Amino acid sequence: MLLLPGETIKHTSETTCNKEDGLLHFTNKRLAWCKTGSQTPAVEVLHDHFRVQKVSKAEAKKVMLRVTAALPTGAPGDTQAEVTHTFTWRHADTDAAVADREKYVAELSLITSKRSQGGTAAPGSGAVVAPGGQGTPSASGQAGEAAAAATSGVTGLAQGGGEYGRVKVGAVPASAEEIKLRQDVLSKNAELGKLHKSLVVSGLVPEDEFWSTRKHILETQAIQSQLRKGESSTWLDLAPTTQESGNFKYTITPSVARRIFKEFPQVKRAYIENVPHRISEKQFWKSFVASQFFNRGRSADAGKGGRDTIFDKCTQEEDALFDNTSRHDLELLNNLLNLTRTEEDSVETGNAADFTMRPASKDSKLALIRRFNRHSELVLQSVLNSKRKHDMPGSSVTNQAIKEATILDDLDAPEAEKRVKLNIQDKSRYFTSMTTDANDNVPMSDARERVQADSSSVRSALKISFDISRPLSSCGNTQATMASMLSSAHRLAMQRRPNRIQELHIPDDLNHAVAECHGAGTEMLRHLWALLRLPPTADRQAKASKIVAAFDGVLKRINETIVKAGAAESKSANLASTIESMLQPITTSLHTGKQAYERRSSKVVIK
Amino acid sequence: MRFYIDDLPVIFPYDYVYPEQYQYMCGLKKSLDSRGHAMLEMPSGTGKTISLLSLIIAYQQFYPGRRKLVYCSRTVPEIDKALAELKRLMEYRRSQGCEDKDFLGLGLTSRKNLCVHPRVSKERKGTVVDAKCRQITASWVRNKAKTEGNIEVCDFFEKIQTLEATELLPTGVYTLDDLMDYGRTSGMCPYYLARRVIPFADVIIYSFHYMVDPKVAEMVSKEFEKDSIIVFDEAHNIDSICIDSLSIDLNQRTLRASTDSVERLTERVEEMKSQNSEKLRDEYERLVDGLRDALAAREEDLILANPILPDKVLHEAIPGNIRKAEHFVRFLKRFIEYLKARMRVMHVVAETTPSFLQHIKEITYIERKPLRFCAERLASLVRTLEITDLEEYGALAKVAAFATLCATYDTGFMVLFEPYESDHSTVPNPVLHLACLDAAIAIKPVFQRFHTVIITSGTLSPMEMYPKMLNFVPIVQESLTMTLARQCFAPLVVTRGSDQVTMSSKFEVRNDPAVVRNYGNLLIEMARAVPDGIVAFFPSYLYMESIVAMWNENGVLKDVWKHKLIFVETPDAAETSVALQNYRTACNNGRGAVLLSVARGKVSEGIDFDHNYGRAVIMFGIPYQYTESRILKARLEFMRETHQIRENDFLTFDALRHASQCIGRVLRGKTDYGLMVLADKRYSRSDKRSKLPKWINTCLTETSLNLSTDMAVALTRKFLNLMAQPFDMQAQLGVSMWANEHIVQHGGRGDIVSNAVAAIDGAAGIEAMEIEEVF
Repeated sequence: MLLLPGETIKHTSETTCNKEDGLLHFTNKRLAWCKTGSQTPAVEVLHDHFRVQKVSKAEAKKVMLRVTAALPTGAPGDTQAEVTHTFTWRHADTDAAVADREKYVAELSLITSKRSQGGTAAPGSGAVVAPGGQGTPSASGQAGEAAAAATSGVTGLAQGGGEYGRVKVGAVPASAEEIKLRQDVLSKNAELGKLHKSLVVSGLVPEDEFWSTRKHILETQAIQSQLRKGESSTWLDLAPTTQESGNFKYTITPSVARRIFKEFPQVKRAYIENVPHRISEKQFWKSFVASQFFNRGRSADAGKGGRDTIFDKCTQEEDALFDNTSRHDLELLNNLLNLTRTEEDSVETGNAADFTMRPASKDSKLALIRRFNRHSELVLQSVLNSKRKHDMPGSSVTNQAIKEATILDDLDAPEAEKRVKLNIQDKSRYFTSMTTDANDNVPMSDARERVQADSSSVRSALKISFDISRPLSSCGNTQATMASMLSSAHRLAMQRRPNRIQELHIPDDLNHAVAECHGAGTEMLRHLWALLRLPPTADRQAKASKIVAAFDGVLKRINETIVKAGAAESKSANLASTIESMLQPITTSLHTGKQAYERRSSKVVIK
Repeated sequence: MRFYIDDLPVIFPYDYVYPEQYQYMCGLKKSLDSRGHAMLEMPSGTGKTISLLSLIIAYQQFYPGRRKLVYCSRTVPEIDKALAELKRLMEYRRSQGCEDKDFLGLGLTSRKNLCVHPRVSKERKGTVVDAKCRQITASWVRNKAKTEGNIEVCDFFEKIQTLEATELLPTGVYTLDDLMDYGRTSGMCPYYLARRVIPFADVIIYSFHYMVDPKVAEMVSKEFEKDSIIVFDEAHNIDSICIDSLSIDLNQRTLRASTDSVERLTERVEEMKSQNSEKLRDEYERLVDGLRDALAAREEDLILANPILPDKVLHEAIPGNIRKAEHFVRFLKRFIEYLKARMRVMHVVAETTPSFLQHIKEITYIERKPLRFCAERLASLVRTLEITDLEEYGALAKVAAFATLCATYDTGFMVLFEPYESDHSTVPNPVLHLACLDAAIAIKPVFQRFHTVIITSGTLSPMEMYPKMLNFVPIVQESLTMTLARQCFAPLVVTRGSDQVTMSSKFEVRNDPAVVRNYGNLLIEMARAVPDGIVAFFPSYLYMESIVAMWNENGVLKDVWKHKLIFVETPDAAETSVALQNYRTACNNGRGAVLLSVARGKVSEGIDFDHNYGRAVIMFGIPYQYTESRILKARLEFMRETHQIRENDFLTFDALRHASQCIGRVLRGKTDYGLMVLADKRYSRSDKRSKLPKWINTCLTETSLNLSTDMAVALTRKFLNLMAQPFDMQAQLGVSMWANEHIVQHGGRGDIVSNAVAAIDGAAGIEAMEIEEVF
């Protein structure tokens, strides 16, 4: 294809458009399609003109992408002047084609998200609803695809749910999805909620700033919220209710019927064949609950069910299905679980098993057992991603299984384990049990002893042996030393702090106020230093100045707290000065931060 | 790691060794040194196979003589696993500088499992594969193909015929998959390849039948030297396998099919007579000379197997009255007619083999001697008539084997005729059983022929039982316990429900609604408390079926479904395999599942439920055999008279070895953990408990002996909480896991190099050095 100046091709795919074969290109400037053999694009959509994209359903035979664009002549935003192009992928392999198409989808949605970021929404205020009007692409990256398709009224969205990380977090202003996520996180995570309340709601830190350093929490929440709940494993049990007249009554709702159909495809077939042209739906279900088919495996009712041509046929079909052992594809089985191999290993010998070890062929308990297995299998399959390829029993899979089944891991020298941080959402509650333990059960002296013992162990770890005969590697394990030092320091602090606060007799409300001041100050300093460390831009500069301006609010709060402390009644005489000294570090830090900012901004100005 | 047992350097493919593995190897070495038999019990999941292989390979490669190892296991997956361990061991040995020149190790299984022929291997039934294989590999088919063309032969088989046995397979270790891969790439039949190279292999791994069952052993195991080391792993059930290999059932279908076969034989004989009587006359000549030579001629043809043992096969000529083909066919016909007549009787008859023979003689004038040669003679005839579809003659072969066995053994067998399947059934289904009662008969030649036979398993208690039943004298007999740094398994005996009603699978109460409900509640509670997989075993298939149906009706299963998926073992192997696979998937993806299965069933034999695949095993009841069975009664009587084993002792022993086998499957390695719930009042009695393996028995404390469901659940939660804590491997060192220095501390001899450096224990170090000098 002939390129525009400065243009580079990012993706190329074989597609058809208007029933002609050709190549689709995505470049840094436009989306273009050339007929096979031709060098000039027959279809061309500049990035600026691109409006909406739609994709075919996942299960559709053809893999298609439909792009709607503004006519080059039309004024921007004029929805009337639009053209639509449809590209169909020519890959024989649908999955590969879909994967290929995804590249384009991602690129196109990037365009829309870029465009919306350049928008005019006012930053700062918390509750900004994402722009999502008619034909306007939505704000947030990948979700753009979903939103774009939704707003333009496409019914079955191809790549709907199930995929993770659709919502792109961190866009300014926040998208509706993101705000929803934030709310979810706050309601779930009490500790964060408290912090949010004291910082954001009180106006100390802007909403977006608060979240900008907590993106990972939102991303985790996004993934969690999109996890689909699996199918319920409960066994379909139609229990009748007894009426006054002594008759039984079964209630079959459409959802129950759907489950019956799923569980027993034979019934579904019978239903399709007979209802409504032969018998009414009511009659169908009536004979269903009376049939032997339904009552299989129920000892009391085994003989009760009458002959019934419809459902006797179902019974036969079910038996045929179960008896057909070749329905199991043994090729897919893990070799270690394949019991038939042992069965075929030797000729059959010996006396037959006595009757207690054989299935009772006459009654239907076997059918019940097989229904259990089938039901569990169905539930399991609905949980597993249907797209997932079955593990082919390639030699590597089998080898892996055998390895797992034979190697005793503990007999090998342990390797460093990969650890995952424990995700505790409400730390205060988690540690209460521990702290009460330390305070109530362990006497102080004991705790001190423990600390001393610790310190001796620390020292022993620190001691470096100068015995030359020992290999160097065993001298002084720095990591272990650090760990033990840290833990003992931590423990000491944990033990002292609560006691000291109690000794100081600080009223609870003051205590909270102090904690709040610290929290707000730290939070803002975090943002400030993060900004200062990056190369300055106008954007960052503006943000920084905003944060520094907010410092005054915090400082004011600090002063208020100190004044309040002076006024408060307490056993402690010099409460005000105590509080002041408690707040001193944060005040100092705030001043340092401010100075650093001022120095920086003056530099910028000079430049 | 490397250490020494006496002067033998053992290379063990891990960094540490469990103390029991070390002791196991010491015991093993003792029996190898003294060329005697051994019985060794070592807890399940503590790496028995690798200890065994490490020691025996070390022994084989270190001492002159290079004794061959024949390792017999129970199931094909176990063979797979043993071969994989052998392969890994040999790789490790190489990395440690052992050359192990010309080492060859391989496994053998049936044609069905090994066939690579594009058409034949597609068949699902083993017998069909055998038949189709014979159609393209039988010697006369191949001869004909040479002259006539357009007759299909198996290229994979033909290629083997062109090569010398020693050129067939490069040295190394071949798992079954490796063997098939090699067969595919080199264009050779893996099955016949394995059979050809067996005489040259250093290690052969196959299932019990290939050693014990005379029908098979004759074909594959007759050439081993006396010095070979025979190992029966997972051998707790070996007596049943011995008995099965010599027992035969005949029913009406078998007899009808045999009659058809005899008709067909008659036609073939007539046909051959009219066309080409040479072959029949040749056969006659050969039979006069003696049968053995005739058989030796074509060892690779698949023949109809002879059920009697090598030393019983007489080297004399076939009796005159069945030498001629037409005479023999008529003889068979008469015998079948006699059996059919016996089937018409409507009452139970139990008799000894001599009395059975006597009766035959009175009625049909058939003598004992020709009956004894029946199987051999039929095999010879089938070959002479060049019959390829052996599958059709399976029933007739069974009848012939029946005749041969009856006429060979006077004691240790019983002929039992039962007109009805059970006492309650009214539809006649007559069966003529030939039941072997003496397990020693089948295994006797193995003990006699080989110097060292090792019987080992996780559960061999009480150990005095096996020498009696199998009639041998072990030189080493050891039961090892499990050394544990933390109590990683918890046996719980649950005797009553939360409502204090006794739980038991005793026949009188097992269908009592209170018992059924309490068993159900136990399952619900465990499903609630235990993560991932739970396996539940029932004493019999019948009981499982009925209790599952009852649970379904009284809503127990509804509660179980809430917590876990339910999978159930069925009589069909393929179906059960799929259920097992799904069960594992459910355990892996966190859904959790319960597997209901039978204590003597396929699942209990050889499927492991380690780690998350089985955090708890529940044994509902005691898996006693069906004691009303006449065959069992006869066997009990036989054992009482000949071995002085009391009926009850044997029954309890048999039930508990299956129970402990079931519950033993939860553990593999010492970081694994699992609960073992024994739900029956009778487990708390000392006569039952004493028959559990020592390693389980020592963990049964007073606090866990008599629990109600709620108490058991409380203990379960406590146990699981404890086990979920991180487990420091270092805590194991020296206690349940030894490095070289610990071996030295315990008076053994570690590797010299690390000894000199470690030298923790001065005395031990010096001792080791001294030994080094002496050596």
